[in-house]
Amino acid sequence: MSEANNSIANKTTRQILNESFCNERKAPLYDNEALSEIRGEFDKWQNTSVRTENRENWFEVPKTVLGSETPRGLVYSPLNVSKLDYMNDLGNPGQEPFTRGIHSNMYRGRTFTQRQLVGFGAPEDTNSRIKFLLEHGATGINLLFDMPTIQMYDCDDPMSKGSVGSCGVSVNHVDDWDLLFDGIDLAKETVSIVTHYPSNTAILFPMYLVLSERRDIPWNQLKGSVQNDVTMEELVRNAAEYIPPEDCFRVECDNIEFIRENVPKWNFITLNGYNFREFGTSGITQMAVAVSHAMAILDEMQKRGHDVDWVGERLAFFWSVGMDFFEEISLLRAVRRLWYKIMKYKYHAQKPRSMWMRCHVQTSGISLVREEPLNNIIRSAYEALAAVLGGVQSLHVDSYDEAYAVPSEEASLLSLRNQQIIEHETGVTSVVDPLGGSYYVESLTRELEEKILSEITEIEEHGGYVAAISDGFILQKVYNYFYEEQKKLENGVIKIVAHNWQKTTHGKDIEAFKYPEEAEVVQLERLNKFKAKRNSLEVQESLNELYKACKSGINIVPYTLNCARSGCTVGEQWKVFKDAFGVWKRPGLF
Amino acid sequence: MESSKKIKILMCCLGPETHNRGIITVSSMLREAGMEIVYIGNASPEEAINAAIDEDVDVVGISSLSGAHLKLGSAMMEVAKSKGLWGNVVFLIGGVIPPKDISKLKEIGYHAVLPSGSTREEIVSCVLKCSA
Repeated sequence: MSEANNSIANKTTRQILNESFCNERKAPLYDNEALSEIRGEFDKWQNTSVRTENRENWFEVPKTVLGSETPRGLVYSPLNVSKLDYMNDLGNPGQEPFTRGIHSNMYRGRTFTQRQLVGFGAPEDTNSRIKFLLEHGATGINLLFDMPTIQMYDCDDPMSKGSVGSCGVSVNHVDDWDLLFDGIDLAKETVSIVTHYPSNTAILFPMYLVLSERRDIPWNQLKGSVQNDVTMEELVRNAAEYIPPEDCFRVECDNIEFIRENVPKWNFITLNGYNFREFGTSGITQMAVAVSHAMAILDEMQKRGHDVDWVGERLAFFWSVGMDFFEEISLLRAVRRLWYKIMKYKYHAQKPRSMWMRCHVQTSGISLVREEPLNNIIRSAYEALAAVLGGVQSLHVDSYDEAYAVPSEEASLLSLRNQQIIEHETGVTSVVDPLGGSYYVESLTRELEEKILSEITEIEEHGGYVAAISDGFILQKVYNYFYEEQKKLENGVIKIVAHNWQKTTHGKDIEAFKYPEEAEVVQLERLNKFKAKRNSLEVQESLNELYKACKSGINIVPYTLNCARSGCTVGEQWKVFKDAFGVWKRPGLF
Repeated sequence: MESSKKIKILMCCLGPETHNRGIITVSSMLREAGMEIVYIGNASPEEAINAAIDEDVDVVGISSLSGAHLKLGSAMMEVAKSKGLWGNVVFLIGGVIPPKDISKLKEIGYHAVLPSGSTREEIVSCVLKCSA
């Protein structure tokens, strides 16, 4: 048995998929006679009706921010999809291979969740913005922490001075969570907790669990997600200190294991995607990285003795949707089909849900510019429409003023309205996968799926996902990408209206959101009071136990949970991680 | 400054800033313009100034995208002044900075502010002009 397993282990995902599909019955939509007639007419048309310059430059490469530069023909016809087999390649919605969507009725059954990011200042500031959005029809909460909390420093740490409440909400301990969710029903709302990293997921999510205990809400009623992503902690993040990638990945898997066992409706990871692409790479690379990451998790969980479906049915992805409209739609369809194939033929998942590529999408922040900021509303609207046409489950639309500051209340509402207009005014949600069957979209979907798989193979041949992080392979790829992209923005190859093309001469700057000034003082005072009422012996003991758990290799989450219960702060637990795992020096450019 | 000497620049983000595409891009631009880059990633205001002294740099470049530019920017400038660095070193700051804060940052002591959208040409010529 071990020999057979080894030979599977040594195969790339591409080889496994190729072998699974080699004997597949093909029922192409076009017969040879029809195709040869179309070919004859097409050639004649191309040589007589198409201008020479278009014929000679048949392919054009779209130049867009975060694009893949996949060449596009002048027009697409059945000749580009001559082998398309409806049932095998597309299926009906909710049917394998799920290219057309994971549900049979899609948005008629359940619309995309309208989940706008919120977070700034002290917990009470964010609490009122959450309530404002819910009162205006938001259907989910999407919670963002401030820089110190994300980087796991308490507000009284010298590193936090001046940053408390900036770009997110400040949270140090479980009492802050109570204020943050004051008057909000944890059993009713679905809450996306944008923890970013495995390390702070292990610290922050248990505090949320303790809050639900305080409110007598059983954990099995909680619904939502955490990010818990090694990609975020080791690749995307900029920080003074990193723990080694192997340990970070272990913490990620500990979180997954604990949450799966104890909080069954919770999405224990949101495979990133988004921030990684925004850092500077194409949609293809974002998907190759996230899928490679997902496979690393499945391999590790199987090693820990867990069933593929037990893990697979709760895996969720988080994508950035950029400006290359048809590519963005096709990418979503492509990765949905690829994920299905991987789960079914590589991991032999049994439950359809495990084969669903469920995703949250955010419109691209990096595509928005400072000049003539109202134009950003238009950009975000196209991106949001692409996401909906691509069949996503949940959506955040960026705000037009984000090149200036976090969104104002007005801008934040406008983003929510953007979603509501797509849903209720355009009629696009009536029909499932409206672009399915388009010669262009189907051809592009197939090509992009192939490219994602090629980049997955590249990572596999590099020793797998964690290895490709550790030695800087993936990071270098991102650096190369955004270095090249920067040059194209500078020389005008990529055009951005009013930014580097039709440059604005009279645009006026907007009134940017102003952070609540007093957040840092409020939070410092609150932390001091909180520390004074704790049992310091209990705190020290919990931290010692956590250290031992980190060192021993057992699941650490029961110990961070214990820390949350005894009142340990975010910063105290991060210090334990650094002591236990040591500090990793990330390969850098400079 | 002697014309043969390379301009030496310390590049850093103050505090726990997580965004780094901007600082990496600007560092590459300045390096390509023939300057020497000392990239220290994240640092507290004290750490940044100590590094500037240890490395004996001509310019300190700060990248801020999360809204802490005024608080951390002035905290660093206080340290710079107390350690006698202000007047000997050029201080520049860039990133997501609301228009109203640009003049405030100049009052605090920054020689120039380069908000998001600044071009390579603007950035390089700003460094050359300020350190001339």
